[in-house]
Amino acid sequence: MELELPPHLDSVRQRLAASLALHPADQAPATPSGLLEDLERHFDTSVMVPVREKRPWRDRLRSMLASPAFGIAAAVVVVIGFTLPSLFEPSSFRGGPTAAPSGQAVQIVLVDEPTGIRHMVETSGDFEAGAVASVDQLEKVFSILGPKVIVNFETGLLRAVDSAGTEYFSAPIPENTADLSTVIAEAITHL
Amino acid sequence: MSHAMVPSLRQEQLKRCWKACWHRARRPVEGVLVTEEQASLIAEQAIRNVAIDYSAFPSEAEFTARALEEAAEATRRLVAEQRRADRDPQVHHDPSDRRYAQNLDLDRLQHRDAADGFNDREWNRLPDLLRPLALATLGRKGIRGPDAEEVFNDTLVELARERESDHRAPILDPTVFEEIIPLHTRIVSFRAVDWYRRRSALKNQPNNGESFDALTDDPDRPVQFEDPHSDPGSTTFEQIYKECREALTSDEWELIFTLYVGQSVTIGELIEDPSFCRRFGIKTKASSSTKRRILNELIQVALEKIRKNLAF
Repeated sequence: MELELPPHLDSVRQRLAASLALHPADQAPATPSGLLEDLERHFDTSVMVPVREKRPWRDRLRSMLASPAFGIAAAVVVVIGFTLPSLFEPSSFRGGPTAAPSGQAVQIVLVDEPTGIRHMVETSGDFEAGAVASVDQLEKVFSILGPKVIVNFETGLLRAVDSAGTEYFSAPIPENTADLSTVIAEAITHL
Repeated sequence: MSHAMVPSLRQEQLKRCWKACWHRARRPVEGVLVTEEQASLIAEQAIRNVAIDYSAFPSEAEFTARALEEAAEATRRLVAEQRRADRDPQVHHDPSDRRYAQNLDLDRLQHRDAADGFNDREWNRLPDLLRPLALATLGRKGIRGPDAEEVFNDTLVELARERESDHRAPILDPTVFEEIIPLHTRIVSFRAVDWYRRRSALKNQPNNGESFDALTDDPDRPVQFEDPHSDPGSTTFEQIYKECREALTSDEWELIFTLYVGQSVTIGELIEDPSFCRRFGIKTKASSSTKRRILNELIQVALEKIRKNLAF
């Protein structure tokens, strides 16, 4: 069942057929012991794809944090965070002068507040509960150090003052108590 | 036989490679013969050495070609060193080789005097040894008498003349003396082509014999002139692979190797093998005649590439 080849290609076929001709007087012995096994192992091992063992996410997170790449990336973020703002005009980026030094929390002081107001402010979700304090008299306000927003229900005024007592913001307490936390938040932005 | 006992395809390929390498190690060139034990050691080492170069098993054609080359080279070096140590050029010469009486000393033939070139007295014995072989080759190509003597003399000169390509004389190529025979046969074939070309170029003279153009349509490929039956063992597979490696795709080599070189499959088996058909884009449900026609085309394309790239 041979194919019919043109004569010029049939001579090439004959050359190929004779290129591995084995001598009729010789009989090759069986493959040496261990040769096939070694070769199979060599090629199998070489192409084997290593299976990654499944690790807990904490270990993987720890590995990621400990990796040099993460450290470099973190350093780059910090450098950019500090240097990028300096490229802008200070006034356009930081805004006007503020009263609250960094790291000093602003207190919200309610003076003679009606029942339920403090709870409403604390649970508004806009402020930390520990930042809210209540006093029954205005004089007691000054015993609380640091910048503060004073919500004086006796006078109906809401003021933002720094630790020295300088006023930066003043507005009447809104009639709708639901808007109170919004006005307090605005006052804090001026400190 | 249980399924686990069936050898894998790769094992079959490696077994064929072992067998071929063993034979090549035992007789790396016609006329050289080492013991079976030496052949086993050389063949095993050659296969292991070649395997190191590959992380994954390449095609059977490539792996076998590399291993054959390594095995033949190792045997030639072993024989040359043994002859040098024993000062006997007949060591490891096949006693059944009757082409000529006795080997010459290759080291002396390759000794080049700085002033006089290749002038060792061993050269005086070389023409008598090569002449009968060369005249037989030329006779098969239709060149006889004084013309054949003239061509033969040219070939002797060429053995000692530096090639333009690498500024190295052909006589320096062999590692063992027996390699001079096929080397000289190739030179004789090339000069035979030149002889026909010169004769064909003499347009004003009557052309009594066949012209060169009448004998071949490709004057740049002396292989066209070769009588395939004159010296069938002269071109080894590793030589063919080396010459034509880049010309054929991996699939084409696999096809040619299994079908014609290793002869491990038949045409009928190939066209009935669904995986083979899919690999070569043959519809598995096509008729046998259609499959054979497509396979024939694939084979002819591959063989044509080999023909065009085979320089000897």
